[in-house]
Amino acid sequence: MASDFTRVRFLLDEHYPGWLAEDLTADGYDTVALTAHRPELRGADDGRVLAAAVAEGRVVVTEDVSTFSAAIALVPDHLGVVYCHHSRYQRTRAGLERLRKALGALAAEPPAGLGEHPVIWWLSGGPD
Amino acid sequence: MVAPTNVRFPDAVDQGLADYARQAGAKKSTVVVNAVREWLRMQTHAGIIFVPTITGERRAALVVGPQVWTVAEAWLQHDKAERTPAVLAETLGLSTADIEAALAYWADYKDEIDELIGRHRASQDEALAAWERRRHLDGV
Repeated sequence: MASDFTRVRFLLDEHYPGWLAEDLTADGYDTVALTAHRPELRGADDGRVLAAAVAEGRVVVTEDVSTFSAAIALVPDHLGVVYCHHSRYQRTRAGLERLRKALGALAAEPPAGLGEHPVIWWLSGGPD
Repeated sequence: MVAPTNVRFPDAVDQGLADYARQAGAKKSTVVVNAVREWLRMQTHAGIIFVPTITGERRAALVVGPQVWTVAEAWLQHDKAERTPAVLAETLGLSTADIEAALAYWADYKDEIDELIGRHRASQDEALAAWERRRHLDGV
């Protein structure tokens, strides 16, 4: 029942492909990818990206911990940032498919406050 | 080695340069050197631009969005048999021309991109470890 899991909505940072967002949306998890679906944010600093995510009610999914740490300091009232470790979710087809499953599982059973409050979460290893 | 060069800017350009340098907290000469360096690289690497980060860096990126280091890292994450521009383009949702542009820049400025990848990985490792230490307290 995908409609049961629509509370957490994702914005994938620019290193993630549009097809991943589209597949997640098809799975029932409202997701957009910055590069493919929000071209006006290409090249924008991550403070703007995080503010845009807040305006759309979305949680940011990213690998870029250094720049998003700074962005979080500037946009403290965000709705959540999910970090993906490079060794857990490699940007290969298989790694991104694993990420798709893990984000779906996260959206289905989100940690308390994700999507509503400034929760920072590292995605666990997830399903194979 | 630094080679002094006299350049006469029109008044409007000079004023704009002074304003930008003041806002950036940089010397005018630093702004000019960096701008010329980036411009020269963009002349030889079509499809590459330079974007500011929130931490004050400027990084090489594809015009279509992703930063060059992220494409380079994805290249390294693929098995050697799969390391082709076509495979990477399909995986990352980019064109093969975009992948080629990123790889060409990486090839020419390998130290710069490799340093970014190394720094990114170290930052991730440290941040994840700190987050896990903090989470551990929730279970105490």
